Amino acid sequence: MSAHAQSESTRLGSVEAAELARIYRDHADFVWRAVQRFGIPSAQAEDVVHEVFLVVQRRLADFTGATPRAWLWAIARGVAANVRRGGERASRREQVSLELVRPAEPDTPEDQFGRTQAAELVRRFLAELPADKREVFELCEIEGLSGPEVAHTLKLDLDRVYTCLRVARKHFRAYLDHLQSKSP
Amino acid sequence: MTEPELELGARERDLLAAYRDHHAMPGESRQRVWASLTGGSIGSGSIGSTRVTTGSRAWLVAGAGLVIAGLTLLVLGGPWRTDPERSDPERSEPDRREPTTENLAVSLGPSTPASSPELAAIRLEPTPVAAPPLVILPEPRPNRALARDRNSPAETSDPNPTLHGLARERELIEQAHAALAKGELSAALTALDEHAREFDKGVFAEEREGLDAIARCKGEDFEVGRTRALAFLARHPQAVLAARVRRTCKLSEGSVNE
Repeated sequence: MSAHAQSESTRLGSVEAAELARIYRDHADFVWRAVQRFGIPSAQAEDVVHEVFLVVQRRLADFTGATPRAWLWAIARGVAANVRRGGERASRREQVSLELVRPAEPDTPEDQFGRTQAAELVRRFLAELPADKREVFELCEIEGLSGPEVAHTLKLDLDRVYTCLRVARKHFRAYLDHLQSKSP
Repeated sequence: MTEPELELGARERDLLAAYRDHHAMPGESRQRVWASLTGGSIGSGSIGSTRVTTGSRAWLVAGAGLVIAGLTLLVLGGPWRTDPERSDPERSEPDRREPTTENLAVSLGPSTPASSPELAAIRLEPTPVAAPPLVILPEPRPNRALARDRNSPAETSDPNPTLHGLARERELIEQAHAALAKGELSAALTALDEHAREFDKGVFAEEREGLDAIARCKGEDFEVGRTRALAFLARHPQAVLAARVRRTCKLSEGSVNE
């Protein structure tokens, strides 16, 4: 462990440490996905998630909100932007759209195949959505944020959030119905 | 303003849950990051994900028919939305414009319940037929930025990296990542050596050097790893792996200049 991390953990009080553990336990997956949405390749995601939580650790005392997701989203966006700016090679990899594939979890072949393909269907749907609707749809339907939370996170009007969400839901349903209609 | 009245059904939610689970943070990464944050001093055993996995295989059943149809569609490249929506005219219209079904390529008929006999009857066999690749890589094309960023074209062993070359590089680096994650240091070093042999100055050369230093610092070659880490940090002070290299090889921010 680095001296930096050592000093950070040392100065954390027990209450803050417990709070950090809670935030990490509940939201590490969210941050993991968020940094990749901000263009961080999965091979670098671990380092960037670490950076995000170092920032969380430092700013923990400043956080007063009820739910930390909007806060984490903003931190993740900032850290990811810094990483992208600082890492020429990372952005070059982004240009060629390389995505390092996470090793598959041990699973039955059927489960693994089904999960991968289901995720692939959703990924293809998301790739077709306009960016604004995609962001809202992901935060609401995949990450489980409420409309007001999304509005706060993305700095949008609540009306706009709900409009995007409604359109995205309709598209998603239409997309699945279309696939369904082609089902043998 | 109230929430949209159109709610997603079980079928849609199951697929989204599968997507979310598929993109969850790997357990080893989760443990490593937490250990780095706290040095293992703060209940490192209590930070497992609390995400609710579906537990059942409902999404498998619900998605089975869609998957098969999807694969067919993906192979055929069929569109699912109209061109007008693709051009996104809505951006220029008021936010309150109510979306209409005319905007959709497919009318919004009643959705088939996830438990419908048709879907339930479909067996999800891991057949290779028409299975799309997990990762879609773009067609290779001349990339000036890529070429420019190398020291010089003559120095690269692969000045015009082909799709195959990049995929092979990626595979080796990913092998190294996976082996490191499992603590299999010799396997990681083998993959990295192989990468060095095949792509001495490849696109992932920087990452290879960083991973090499990390693997050695984690193993018995700590001093060698540390030396390589210093060289790596001197060459690539802004590398994405820099923080991890410093952390693993116990180097401070100023180490390189010392």
